[in-house]
Amino acid sequence: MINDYHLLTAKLIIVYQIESQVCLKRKCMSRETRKIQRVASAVTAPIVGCAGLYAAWTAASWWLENPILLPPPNSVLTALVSIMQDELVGDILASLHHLGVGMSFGVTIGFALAVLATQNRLVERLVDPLIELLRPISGIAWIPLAIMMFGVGETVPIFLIAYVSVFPIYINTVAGIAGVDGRLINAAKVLGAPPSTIRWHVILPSALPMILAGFRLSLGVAWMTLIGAELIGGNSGLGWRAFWYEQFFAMNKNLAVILVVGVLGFLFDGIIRLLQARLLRWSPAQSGAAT
Amino acid sequence: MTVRARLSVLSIYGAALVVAEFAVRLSPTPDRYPSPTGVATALVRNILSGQAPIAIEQSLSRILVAFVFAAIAGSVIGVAIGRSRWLDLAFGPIINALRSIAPIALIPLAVLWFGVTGNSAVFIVCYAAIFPIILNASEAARQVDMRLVNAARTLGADPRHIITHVVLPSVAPNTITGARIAMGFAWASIVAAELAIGVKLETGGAINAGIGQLMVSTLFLDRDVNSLVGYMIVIGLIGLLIDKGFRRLHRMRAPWEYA
Amino acid sequence: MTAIRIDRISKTFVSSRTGEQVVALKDVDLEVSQGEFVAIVGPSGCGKSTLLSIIAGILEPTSGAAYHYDAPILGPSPDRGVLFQDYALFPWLSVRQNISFGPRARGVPSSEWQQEVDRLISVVGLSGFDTRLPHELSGGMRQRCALARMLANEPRTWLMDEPLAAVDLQTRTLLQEEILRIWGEDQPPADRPAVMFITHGIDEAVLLADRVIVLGRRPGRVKADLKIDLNRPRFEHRDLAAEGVLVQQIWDQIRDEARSAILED
Repeated sequence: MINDYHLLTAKLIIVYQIESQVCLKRKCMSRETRKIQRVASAVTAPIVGCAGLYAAWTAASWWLENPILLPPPNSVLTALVSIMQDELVGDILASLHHLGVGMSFGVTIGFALAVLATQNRLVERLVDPLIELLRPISGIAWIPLAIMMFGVGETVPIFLIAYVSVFPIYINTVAGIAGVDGRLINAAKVLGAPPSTIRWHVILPSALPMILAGFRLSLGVAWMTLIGAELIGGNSGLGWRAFWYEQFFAMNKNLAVILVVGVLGFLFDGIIRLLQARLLRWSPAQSGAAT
Repeated sequence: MTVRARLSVLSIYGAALVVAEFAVRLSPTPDRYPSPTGVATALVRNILSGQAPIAIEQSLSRILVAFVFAAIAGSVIGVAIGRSRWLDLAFGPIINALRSIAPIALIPLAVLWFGVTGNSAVFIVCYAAIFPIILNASEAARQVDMRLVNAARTLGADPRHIITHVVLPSVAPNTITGARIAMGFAWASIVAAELAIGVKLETGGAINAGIGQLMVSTLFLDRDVNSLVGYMIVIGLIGLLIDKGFRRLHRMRAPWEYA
Repeated sequence: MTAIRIDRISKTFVSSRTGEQVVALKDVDLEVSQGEFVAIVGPSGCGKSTLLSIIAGILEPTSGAAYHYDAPILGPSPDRGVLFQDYALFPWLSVRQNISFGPRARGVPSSEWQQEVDRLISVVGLSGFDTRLPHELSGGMRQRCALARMLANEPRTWLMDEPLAAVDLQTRTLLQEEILRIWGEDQPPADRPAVMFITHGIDEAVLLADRVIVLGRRPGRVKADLKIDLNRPRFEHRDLAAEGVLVQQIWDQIRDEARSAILED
């Protein structure tokens, strides 16, 4: 038998539930609850995103019914495992070789030119317009000329890497040195610092954030160019290998190589970001904007 | 710069060009290296013959199609992940990972999907252009200053007025910057894509060849190094024009960022 | 004994953009004695900072000469410590590294300055913060750090360029008292440094200084030189009435030019 007491209890439960719903909607939950929700979505959202992509990709390749046009993701992963045991390491080493040699040249030249240009007016007047003229000509546009001059081979990617990595490091180093706070130099002077101390302990650390940012840009554009240069004008490395697999319609292997290219690019950038965060702990802008 | 400094810089460059001219003429293989006069005559010849202008028009029209695709899709995605934290968490990492794949690396796939046609180039350019647009659109969506919106509301503005007079002007600078970077990427990658596709064809000269395909045919058929350098100069100039145009637009829309 | 002597100094700047000449200082004569605290006030654009930069050796006068203990000033010297307006701390160095920058830059062996730096850190009240970086400090703490950095070179003269302009009012009052204490206001003049203190605040100048020098603008020149005969230590016996009279006197000197300065800038 239902009496008033039961009715009251039922009413109370309903009211409580409605109110707690309203409460949730108005976000009047406790701080802990909200924090837990944030952490939970930070963990689940990327998983859901990746799973969604994987599912959509699988569905698309299943619908196309053509493993050459769009190989399903699991076949790409098995291809990755199989090339890992095979030629992938050699290709990565070849690409790293191109990148290393090319960037050593490019970064050294860019940095040296920048230092000279900030020291000497004539150098600045000679180099600045040249940089401004060449900068809009992308590295890729050099490929035909590079092939013509050096022939297809590893000189083409190395030359292009050196070329594209000059610009960001040059521009950022010049801006970094020009942007050194004059008050800091004065402060060092009145504290009795000789010119060499000012150069190494004031100007260099002041310009370091810009120089590192320039290096990061150089590396990014170098990696992009490297793949194109190997694909079109090289005979070794990851870009060339991606092209090679496509010739045999081994698109799962081709996509596996592209995956490796992306992961390596991401990795390089991460290393530089770590370096930036480590070396520039003093800079509030850096520690905040290390994204 | 003073007149004298200008003159000294110009004379050094002039001397370098003269030296280059003689070095190329006196070298045992003058056909392998570009000479200043050779480049100049080749440039004039290719422009007057209409070959270069037609190719550039082809390339630019492909870019335009790709850019419109990228701008629409990129803005939608960018605003979505900029306004929703969950979407940002779910797809931000994937977008970042895709971004670190050079668009050029996708050329084999594009060729397979679209054949050795202009559509492959459009796909590559679209891929290259979409990421800066996504990034800047999400940044713009995130950074709409709520204080300004609130200020407008207290001043009696209705939602429509707020969108047209507060929100849109405040996202315009970021959007223009995104478009500028996207167009820069697009121009670099159209050349790359056409080069790669042209290499695959190993015959250029088709009617709908863009500037990249034209360069490939110059490289493999004509073996004309002077024309190649001429085309590179044209590519550089167009890139520069695109960049300057967007910068000027940005300056017009956001003069306060230059104060 | 004369610490700073300025002999008919003029400074003319030429604008690099318009080529227009601006006379920042014209025929300025000035003497500061050993152990004396001199405050310089004036409307903006009167060349206060220019004068200080010339004495610091960062700027060269167009004509005239400046002397420090009878030696002509030809460039910066650790003997003349400078406290900069916005601190000018090295952002990549910790508090301790900033303070020891002077001794290290001069090549003093670390055994000789370690203890002194420790002492200075506690004198300015930064004990426990010595490994912090400047951006992790409050405005007042940054100013204390800059003060300690200047003191680490044991300068015979302190040159202070609006040192308290960027801190809040409470911190400013505390720092004013500290500056006077560290300067040694209860010591005989022979045992403490000479101070040249540039400020916008007339009340601050009256509160701290033995002498207040009023500069006029366009061109910058000495308009008035007032002796402040208030008892020291100042914060122990404050005489607000006497201070008020002096502040009013100085303000009367500045008012008209300050008004035209605001209109022009």
